[in-house]
Amino acid sequence: MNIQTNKWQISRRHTLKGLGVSLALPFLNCMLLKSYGYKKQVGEKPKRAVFAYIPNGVNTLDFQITESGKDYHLSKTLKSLEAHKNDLTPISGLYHPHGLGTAHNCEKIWLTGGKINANTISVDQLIAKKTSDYTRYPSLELCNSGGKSLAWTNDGTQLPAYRNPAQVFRQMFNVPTSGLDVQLRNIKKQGSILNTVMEEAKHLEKQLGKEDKGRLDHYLTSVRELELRSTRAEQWLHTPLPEVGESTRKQLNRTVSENEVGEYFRTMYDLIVLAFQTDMTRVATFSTGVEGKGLAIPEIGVLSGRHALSHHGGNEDLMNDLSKSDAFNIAQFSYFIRRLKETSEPQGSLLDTTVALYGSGMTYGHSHGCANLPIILAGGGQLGFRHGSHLDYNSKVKTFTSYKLDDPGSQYRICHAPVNKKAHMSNLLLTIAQKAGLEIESFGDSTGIVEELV
Amino acid sequence: MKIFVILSFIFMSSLFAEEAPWIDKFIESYCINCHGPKKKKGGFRIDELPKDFTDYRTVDYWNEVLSQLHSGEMPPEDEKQPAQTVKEEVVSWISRKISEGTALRMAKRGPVSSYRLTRSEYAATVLELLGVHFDANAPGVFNDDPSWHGFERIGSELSLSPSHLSRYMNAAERILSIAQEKIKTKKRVTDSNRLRPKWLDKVGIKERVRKPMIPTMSWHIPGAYGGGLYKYKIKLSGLKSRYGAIPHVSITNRKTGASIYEADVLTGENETVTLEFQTILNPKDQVNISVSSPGVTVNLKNGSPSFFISTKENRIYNSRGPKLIDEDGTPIYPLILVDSIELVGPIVSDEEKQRRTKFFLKMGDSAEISYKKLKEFAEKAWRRPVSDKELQRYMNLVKSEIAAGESLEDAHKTAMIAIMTSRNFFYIIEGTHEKRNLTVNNWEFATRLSYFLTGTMPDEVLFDKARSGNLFSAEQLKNELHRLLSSSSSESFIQDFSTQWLRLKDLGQFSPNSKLYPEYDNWLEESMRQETIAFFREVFTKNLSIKEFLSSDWTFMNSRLADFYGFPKLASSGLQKVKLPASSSRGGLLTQAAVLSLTSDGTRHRPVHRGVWLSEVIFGQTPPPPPPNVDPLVPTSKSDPKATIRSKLEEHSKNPNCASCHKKIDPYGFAFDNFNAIGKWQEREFSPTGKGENPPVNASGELADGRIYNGPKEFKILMIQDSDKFARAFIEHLATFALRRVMTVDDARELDQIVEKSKKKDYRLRDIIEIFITSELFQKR
Repeated sequence: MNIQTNKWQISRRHTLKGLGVSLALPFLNCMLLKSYGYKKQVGEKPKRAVFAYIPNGVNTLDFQITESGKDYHLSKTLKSLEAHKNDLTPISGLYHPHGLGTAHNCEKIWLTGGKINANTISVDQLIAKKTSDYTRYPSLELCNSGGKSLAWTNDGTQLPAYRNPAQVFRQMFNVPTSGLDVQLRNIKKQGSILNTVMEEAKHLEKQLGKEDKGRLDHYLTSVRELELRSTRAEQWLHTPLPEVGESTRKQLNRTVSENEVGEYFRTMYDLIVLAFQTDMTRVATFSTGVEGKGLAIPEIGVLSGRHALSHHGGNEDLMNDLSKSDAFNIAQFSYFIRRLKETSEPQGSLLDTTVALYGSGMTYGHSHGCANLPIILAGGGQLGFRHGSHLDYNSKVKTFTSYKLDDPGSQYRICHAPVNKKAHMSNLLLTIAQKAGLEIESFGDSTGIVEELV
Repeated sequence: MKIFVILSFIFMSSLFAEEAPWIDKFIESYCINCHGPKKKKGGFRIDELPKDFTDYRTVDYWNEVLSQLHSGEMPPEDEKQPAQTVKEEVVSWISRKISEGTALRMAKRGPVSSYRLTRSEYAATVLELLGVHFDANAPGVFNDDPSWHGFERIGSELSLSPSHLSRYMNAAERILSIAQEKIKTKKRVTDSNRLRPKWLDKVGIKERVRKPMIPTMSWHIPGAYGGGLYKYKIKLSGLKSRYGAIPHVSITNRKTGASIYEADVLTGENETVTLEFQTILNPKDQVNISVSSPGVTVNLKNGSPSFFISTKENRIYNSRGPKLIDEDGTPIYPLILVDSIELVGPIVSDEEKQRRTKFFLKMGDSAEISYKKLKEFAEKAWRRPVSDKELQRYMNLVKSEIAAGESLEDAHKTAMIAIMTSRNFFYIIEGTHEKRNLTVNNWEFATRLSYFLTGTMPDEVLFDKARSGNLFSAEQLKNELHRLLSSSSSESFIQDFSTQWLRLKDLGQFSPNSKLYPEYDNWLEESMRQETIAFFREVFTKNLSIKEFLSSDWTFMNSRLADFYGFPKLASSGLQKVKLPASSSRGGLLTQAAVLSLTSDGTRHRPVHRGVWLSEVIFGQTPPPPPPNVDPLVPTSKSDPKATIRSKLEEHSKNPNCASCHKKIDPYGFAFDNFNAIGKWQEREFSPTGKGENPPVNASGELADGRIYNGPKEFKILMIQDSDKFARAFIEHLATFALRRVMTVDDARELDQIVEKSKKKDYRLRDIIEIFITSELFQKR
């Protein structure tokens, strides 16, 4: 009984009807915080970055924007972004050279631009190295039950991701009941354990030849990193956690079924908003589904997962369902942008200090086409991003005349082999990294930054 | 032996030298202008890149060259372009060299090899070490294990990040705390008769009441009150519906939705069966029982029936829910009648209890005892003798913890956590830095043998044999093998090896489209998996020839699979061995629903995927990846006639770039075109678009060597002709699984010896295993 009552309250507060246009109650009030958990307000404005993935590409015939530049019209499946048109840039024509022909492995390199078999650090983790000086957590990795994150370490190890919002909420915002002394003792104890196994490994290191150290290096790096985290945790211990209002706590500290896709996605997005707002972290990734685990959406009558829909074989029902699923997913992202926009910061809104990348590593799922990726970049005004146009790399090529959406074969070819070979996705990732404060000249196979965005 | 060394030398040198002039010509024509002595663009000179594919750094560069060529980034658009065919030859040359080199590089091992335990090995090790049932697969406990061609134990794949280490440390803390918990084993029995309404007595009904369940109904049953191992006994009957539908019972974890136990239940009304199963539950886990039946949904808007007396008793109805019995006393829906549910747990055996307390300190124990117990613990956990010097660090930890105000008992426990956070615990370490051993020592051997066959650390008996040092004699080994394989722990080998070798984890990876395959559900998927594993178990326990994997006149089915395969109804519902009629196309692994499904994508069957799977899993050969810039598959337009995937594929592979590889791969897949994406027989292939009738299937083909077949039965005859090739690959897979590394040309001689000896035993599975563990290869570090 109780559960049902609760559910009713939450969904009224939190509803996006159908494709996410109407909203019942302003959410802002519930998210008001009693106090902030900032450790220190650093001189510079905070720079934040968030990356969200949609698996298996889209129905490009309904997704593709056909006009380039400022005077463009949002396509059928992008309609829910209308209100944010000035805060975002849809980008056409991008691709990862190493992603072509890799089928569902494309998700692994979406944020790394690396090679499938020798992957490397993802852009979010690179940014996190810089921002982690100011926050309790270096980064936040979220995913659905598919269980895989978008984040990768230097040596190509995939980071684990959280799938349950309640677990993340509790870890971030619940004040441990054990008291400060016990917490400090625990941190110290973990430090001593790490110290012991570190000494042991170092002793071995001295005796090994250079070429034999591979495995040991992983271990030593890991121990060192944990020691660093343990030191950080100790430093943060004396800074009180932010107090989260009761209604917000109730809303986020719960397990949401993945059968209620809208509720689930919005809760995950809200969690990111709260984590940014309280400066728990400044970097987040959210895989709304890995390839093969993109959710069916029973609430709008889409009963197959995204992978099954993407292999539509031209079947009209499946293609319609794919478009419905695309529109629904984008509407949730649109909700996220609005939430960022509504959340005010000392100077402007959270959207101004947050750059958000949304998209897929695949475009035409039916035969695994990975060019002309569906990509949307939003926010980050204070980081120096300029928006309002459709940035179209395809139309920059002289031989390209126009999109022919009534000739599917022609559009599918664009999604299979890049029209504009210069349109490396890594250039966009480099631009995001630079604007997020990193002093780097290249990322992955980048050839330069995306001038049109800055 | 000498001959082999020379031969392999010639073989290797041919890899590097002979083909080189040809590739040099290509480089000179298309690369050297920019990446040569003149320009050195991007700081890269290809003429200085050695063609040594055994060197890790060199191969990194070759990999770069490959992907630049492959993706069409190089040569740049405005430069002279090679013919597509030439480019493809170069690409496939480099990719072949790299994959051959991968093996060689993996073989270039230092004096110490470290192989991280997989999650399930970790859990099994903890049970053997501390008597704690730990759920290492629960979400958030550990990271997923990456796999190499399905194998999860490959050392070079199991890397370590800070998050891994942090999870190991936390897990150690939790496991040791569980070990210290007081155990309160309880037994709870839920008798359905307690649902009995009082007024039944008044109307003169004396019989016991049973809990009725029909499809769509779900019932919350007793779950965990603490973490650990629980045992359920559910007494019930299962009745067919008037249309013959059989009820299926699912037991699931309410929190995670994970399946705990599944069964079809078919009995008489007055017969009962008791479903007995055990499961690990975490504290507060809740458990559900639910009933389903394929194609049957029941509207429960008006509630669910709460009690049942008998099919004869039709005077009394439930006030809520649909009617269960028709006028003739026949169930309207498939009907489950539960009599009682018994739950016992957490269950800890006496032996486990002893393991739980053994290494901890009791109040009042001295520092000497702490030292002695830590040493015992480290030696068991690290699976080898531990020197005083090594242990000193942990004793220092005890001291510093005491100095920080902890009690000796707590400081001792902290040292135990550290012992489990040490790399010596969660890595299997072979070799020492002092000298380069060519073979493993007694302890390493015992560990290797134990993880291979039982998936966990050596037990006390095996440790004793390692200690006494005579494990290596063939006679001793055979005895040990029989001991290990006759115990229930060999089930871990059956499950893990068959799952990894056949890539059964890929089953259900892409959920079949519910519109196209409405009959597919979790239970069908689980039944498919069970068939394949039961098949492997049968070959293993009966010591049959592995040729049965290619073709057999028997398989395993439960009632659901029999229905799915279109077989006559089985007498009982459980998994059972079934003799196949001569006309059947099933038999062997290749035509099992699990294999046919996992090589499809959930929407369509995929002849190419099936071909690649067969090539890799059955013959151990990996085809090169497809070139990236192939034209997209454009769906058949409404006005064109319907077409099979095969005909579209054949059109596609007319392109000479594609033809050379597809000629080898596709015939391995076309043989199964009669089986759709979930492995069901089809004469005509369903085509979603186009006009006219669905096209008929063509399951004939020609292998690359010219042998032809028509349909899966003839194809299997060709596969049996290739038994030696299959056996070689199978033994290689077995060795990869056991030794946790990829086999290389350096292992070829030993592998060949094992194949030769096994052939004399007609490739019987247990004989192969015995020959393997007594071989040189199994002792090689």
